[in-house]
Amino acid sequence: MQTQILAFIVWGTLALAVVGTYFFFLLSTRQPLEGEDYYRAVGKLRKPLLIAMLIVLSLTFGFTIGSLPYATSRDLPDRVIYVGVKQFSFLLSSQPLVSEVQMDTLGGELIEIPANSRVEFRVRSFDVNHGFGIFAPSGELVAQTQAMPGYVNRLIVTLPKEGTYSVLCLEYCGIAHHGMRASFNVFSPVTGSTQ
Amino acid sequence: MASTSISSLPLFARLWSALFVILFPVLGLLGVFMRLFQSEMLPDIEPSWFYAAMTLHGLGLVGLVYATSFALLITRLSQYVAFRPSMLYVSTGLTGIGVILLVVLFLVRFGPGWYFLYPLPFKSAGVWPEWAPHVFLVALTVLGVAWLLWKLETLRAMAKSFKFSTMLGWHVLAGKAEPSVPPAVLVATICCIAGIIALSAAVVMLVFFYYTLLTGNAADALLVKNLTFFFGHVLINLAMYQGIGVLYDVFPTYTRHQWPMTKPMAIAWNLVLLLVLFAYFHHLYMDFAQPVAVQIIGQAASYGTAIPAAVVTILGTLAHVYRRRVEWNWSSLLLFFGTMGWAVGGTAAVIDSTVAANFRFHNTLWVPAHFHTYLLAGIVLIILGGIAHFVSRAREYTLRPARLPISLLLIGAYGFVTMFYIGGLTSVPRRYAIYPIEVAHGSTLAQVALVFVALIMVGVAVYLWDVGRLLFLPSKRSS
Ligand code: HEM
Ligand SMILES: [Cu+2]
Ligand SMILES: [Cu+2]
Repeated sequence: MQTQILAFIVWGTLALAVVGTYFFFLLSTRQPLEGEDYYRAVGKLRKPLLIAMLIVLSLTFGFTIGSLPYATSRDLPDRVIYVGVKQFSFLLSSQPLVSEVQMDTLGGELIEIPANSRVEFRVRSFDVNHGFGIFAPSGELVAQTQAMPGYVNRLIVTLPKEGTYSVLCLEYCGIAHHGMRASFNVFSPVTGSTQ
Repeated sequence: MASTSISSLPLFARLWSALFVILFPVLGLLGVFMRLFQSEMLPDIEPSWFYAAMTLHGLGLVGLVYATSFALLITRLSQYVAFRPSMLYVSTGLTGIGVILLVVLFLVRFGPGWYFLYPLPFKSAGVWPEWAPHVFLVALTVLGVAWLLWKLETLRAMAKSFKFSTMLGWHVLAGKAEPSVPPAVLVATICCIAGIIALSAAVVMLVFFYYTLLTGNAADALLVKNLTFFFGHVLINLAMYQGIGVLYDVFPTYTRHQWPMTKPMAIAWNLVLLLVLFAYFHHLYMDFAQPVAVQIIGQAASYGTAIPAAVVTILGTLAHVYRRRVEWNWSSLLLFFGTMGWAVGGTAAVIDSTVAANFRFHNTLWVPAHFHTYLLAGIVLIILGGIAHFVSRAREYTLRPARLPISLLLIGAYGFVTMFYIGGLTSVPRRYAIYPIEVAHGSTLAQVALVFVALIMVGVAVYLWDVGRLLFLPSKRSS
């Protein structure tokens, strides 16, 4: 399942459980019972709650910590796309792009990537922090990394769906932050079409 | 030990309460402006105003809840320890100067965002004047000094009445019941220590900015970003923790049940001090240049912070009311539901602090979703509840069980944040004045959010009439 949907369902379920619990306790004050030490009684739930949280959080930690998006130096992609970013544009290039002047000299290029290949986006910024967010043809955010001056961020992804992907900026970078964009195509290596 | 008077600082409490009930709605209106803008209802206004409003709204409200929750905590502490009021007013005055400078910066459309990343304040792309970052650094320095002094004075005042180890509840950990230390003192101590560490980090961060300003040389952007988020993360969490200190001290008046310092509570808060300092790494998951070990520590520490909150404070609040004759009114209901916002928003925060989820949620509307849940539906309610308690005691006024306006506040706040959550679910980026075609549905969400904001406004208006107004009537007792 899409990560966003799963996360939303988990949050929604827990949120409803919390709200339900709060109203249960609120309504319980309508039938007060003097004399009984209910504080103690509810306090007895502390240990089970602690243990339950430890178990759930450890399991979630164990299941999720394996899928880190970080590339190691041994990770070899099928191809590298160089990304240069500055206020307020992206440049995607198959040629190495390491300095700011190349943002003007390299010129735009239509990037075509075969579906299901491992592609690395090597992201650099030449002024402030920006974000490099990849949006699938369906509009779903599928991957991102930051673009930070002085650093190179390597984002390795496998894109299974064909079509036109958009790149939007995911770190506020000034007045035209919302207007920064780029795109690339993912095509099927079998049919050769992008649709 | 506890005296019956609510505070030996009535004027100070009244001053901060009044500031809050005025500034919270005003800064909230900037949020309404942003939602209107994102709804495409203000086509003739420049986006630079959106970003300037975003900056003042964020900085202003975070600063306001941080300072007010601390002021209320101090008001409670003044029952147990003696402050030097002059020090408190110096901090308050300096805070005022900082805030005035921020408002001036808004007028020249200074907009690097509430967390501003090096070197954006210097690269305005022609929007704000060259002197703006200078003034900004001065404003932040003034605020930093003010709040550092404030925390130091609080530590000093508490240390005069209590031994440092008992302030941290270590005697309780060792199994001793005496001396009895109010939980508010424990919480305040943790907040002072964490606050002093965070404010020191902010000073170092400012030094890097000054360095670039004065020499023109670049600093290390990743290092400065670490400092920025260390500071910002701790600050925003302290705002909540300070409110919890107020809760521990005020809520028992309505449940008629002691909330003493227990061993679990002492363990929890000592743990919080440790975890809150390491959880901030979750803000840098998408900086792939950051060491991987640090990212893993970030996820572990973030998960960890959920445990003391749930097991001690949330469960404690619930246990306090269970089948008890609780006096439900403006104050107790707001305090009670404030902790609910903390729980619901905290859950969303834990999800987002999972690296694998953050890969899809970072800098989407999921982020404002979770923090508005525990700020607007959490700490703001706790502060409003604390103010209601203070006012009603000071003026011998009986608060009503304002069920209807509180329902409006809750429905409004949860509906409002749900539109942000749906934005996160559907990949809408945060901090976008205008939504591009890929996420055009963002503006529909903004329109629906406005309906819920209207409910919040009605609830707040009733609160201001019922409670807020009393702050401004001439004092009854002194006459
Ligand atoms: C009715 C009340 C409020 C409304 C309508 C509102 C609205 C908004 C909106 C529209 C944004 C921009 C979201 C985006 O990135 O697209 C925002 C950001 C923010 N809000 Fe609120 N908000 C409200 C209350 C609060 C409160 C009570 C607090 C804090 C105590 C708060 C703190 C923030 C912060 C820190 C940001 C982030 C600013 C930034 O990204 O630089 N807001 N708010
Ligand atoms: Cu940007
Ligand atoms: Cu944080």
